[in-house]
Formats: sequence, C-alpha cells, structure tokens
Amino acid sequence: MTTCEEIEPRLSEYVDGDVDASTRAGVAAHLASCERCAGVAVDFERLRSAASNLGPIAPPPGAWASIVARVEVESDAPRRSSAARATWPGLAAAAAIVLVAGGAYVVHQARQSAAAAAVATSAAAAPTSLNDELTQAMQHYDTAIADLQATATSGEHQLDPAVAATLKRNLGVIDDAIAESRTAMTVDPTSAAARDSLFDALQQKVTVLQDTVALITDAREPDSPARGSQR
Amino acid sequence: MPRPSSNALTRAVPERVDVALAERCRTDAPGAFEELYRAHSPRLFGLACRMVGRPDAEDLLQEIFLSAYRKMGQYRGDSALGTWLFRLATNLCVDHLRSRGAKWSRMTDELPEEPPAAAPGSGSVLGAIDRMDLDRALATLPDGCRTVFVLHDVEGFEHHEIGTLLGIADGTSKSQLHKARRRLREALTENERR
Repeated sequence: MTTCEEIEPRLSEYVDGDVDASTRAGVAAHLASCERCAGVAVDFERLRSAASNLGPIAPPPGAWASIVARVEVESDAPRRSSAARATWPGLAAAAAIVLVAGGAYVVHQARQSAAAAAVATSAAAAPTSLNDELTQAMQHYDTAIADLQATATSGEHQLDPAVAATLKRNLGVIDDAIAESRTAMTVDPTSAAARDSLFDALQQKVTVLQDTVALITDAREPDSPARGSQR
Repeated sequence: MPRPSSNALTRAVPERVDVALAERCRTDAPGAFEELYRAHSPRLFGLACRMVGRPDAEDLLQEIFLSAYRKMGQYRGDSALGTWLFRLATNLCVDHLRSRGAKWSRMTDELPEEPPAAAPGSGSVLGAIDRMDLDRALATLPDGCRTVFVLHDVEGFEHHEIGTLLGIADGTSKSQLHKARRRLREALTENERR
C-alpha cells in the first residue's frame, strides 16, 4: 500500500490500533513520507481525544419536575378506580380536564401560529394575535389550577400525611419551574423555549393536582358501593 | 494505540450502595428516586443529547427514567446501577433513532464512496478542539455515523459491542466511524476558518 487513496480509508483503524502488524508497518511507512495523510492521522487522534473528554450535560431545570409528574401518575394509576373519579371531586377534576383541554388547544394553536407567522395570512376572527392566544391559554390553566387547588386543599386532611407531604413537595418543585419560566418570559417575551417550558410546567401542575384529587376521592370513599359499577 | 475496552457497560462493578438505592427506589422510599436522578441524569442526558439531538433528548430523558422506574424490579445487582441505566438509555436512544425510519435505515446501507479526506494545505489542520464546537459539529452528522462516533469515541465502546447494540456488522461500524471523523474534521476546519 503506497498511495494516499489506499492508505486513507485505513487511517481510522490505524489510529485506533485496530490493524494487523503488516498493515501497521505499511501505513507507518506511508505516513513518514506523506505530510497530508500524516496530518489526517494526527487530526483523527485529536478528535478521538477531544471526544473522550466530552462530559455529562446538565438536564434543563424543569426535567425533574416532568419526571416526577409522570411517575406520580404511573404509581397512582393502579390505586384509582374510574367510579371514584365520577364523584364530586372527580367531577371537579373532569371539569378541569375540559378547561385544560381548551387551554392545550389554544396553546397548540398559538404555537402553530408562532411557527407559521412569517408565511400565513389568517382570516380567523379571534383570537386576534399570538399574544391574545397565549393569554387565553394561560387563563385556562390558571382557572383549572385554581379549581383543582381549592378541591385539593379542602380534602388534603383526608390524605395520608406522608403522601400529602410528597405531593406538596412535588407541587413546590413545579411551582419553582413555573416561576423560573415566568421570569424567563418577562426577560424575553418572545422566547419560544420559555413559553413552552411555562406551559409544560402548568400542564404538570394540573396533572399532579388531578392525581391529588383522585387520591382524596379514594380516601373519602374506600368502600363505595358504586365502585366498579360505573364508568 | 489500541485502548482497553472501557465503557459504561464494562468499567463499573456493582456496589452495595447501588443495590440499596435500587431497593429504596423499588419501595418508593422518600428521596430515593430523586437521588438516582441526581446521580445519573447528567451522564444519561449527555448520551441522549449526542445520540438523538437536544430537542428529542429532553423527552427521551423522561422516558429513560420512567422506564427505569417501571423496570427497577428487574435490577438484580449483577452490574453497577449506572451500567444498568446506561444500557437502558442506550437501547431507548437506538429505538428512538429507529423510529425516525428512513434516516436510520441508511445505517445498514453501503456507504457511498467519498473522495479522500480533503486536506487544505498539508499536515494537521485542527488545533485544540473546543468542546462546544465539537458538540455542535456532532449535531450536524447523519444519525448513523453520529451514533457510532458517540458510542466509540465518546463512550468508549468497541466495534463488536456497537455492532451488537445496533444490529450492524463490525465493518459497518468501522466505516461509519471513519466517515464521522472525516466529516467532523471538515466541519471543525470550516469552523476554524470563520
């Protein structure tokens, strides 16, 4: 092997020490006389060394809250019954779902609008602007959260204290994420990342509050005759 | 020079603290799952960012820990908890890439012949490589060669291990690695010129 065309495809394996002795000797002899291929080999070494030093990457601040919310849902699900959710706190949760679904739709619309703003001409009468849509979406969430929060607070004493403490801690984490996102939006109102992060955190809060209400319902009516007979 | 095999799947051995933490997670002990997250999420998020790209990595990190929560009962202490999590995360990253479909299918295709690495001037063209520049350049690579580069050069896997993980031949893994290094060299050279 003497030409660059023959040597070049072997340089990666050569740098990794992944060639037999005769190939190694052939490549080494070529590199001794070819500055261009020797340069490629040196750069591959540098790349490999730099890559091995690439470290961990810190997850975004809201990541833990998102995981907590999903784990809470998963860990509570088997304990809940569909009948229990049909009672009054459950109806409050269902109402909140409707409100949030409306909010989520508006958020989706707002995100679509933001993406298409540069090219789209919309004849829709209302909402009239992206800001209006975002404000409307936030109002949906705020209303849903306020309703759920009121239900959760009134029934909190019926929960196991350890469960209540865990839920409270999780809500605190999510509230921190909401506050961070609101601050980021204040600093840069056009930041799509801050907006998405805020709506994700609001959705997580709704999810945790819905779970809280479902747990209260379970605690309140452990032997309800209706359990399992309604859907 | 050949490197000894040293990656997240081989370098760590289980410790008593791993088994204890797994048990605490299984029984929903207060703070246990958060301890697991704080200890391992930066490494797993780094892997996910480099394998699937940052936007998807944020969702994937949730999937990784949700999957860990569901499967914690399967952890028997045969390996370090970090090793077990890393394998779980790698598999989820690969599944995610496969779900992207067409792009991933090119991984097993024959690579098109490319001209020898163009070396403007002669000799080495890369100086000290900035970590952020390398991460940015990495993000521009096609899925196939980026995945092999991350597993081999960043995480320290051998080609036969990569072949097993990705379901490709060792030779394909080697070709993809070579292609990745060539493209990164070009991208970083362009970057230095600007």
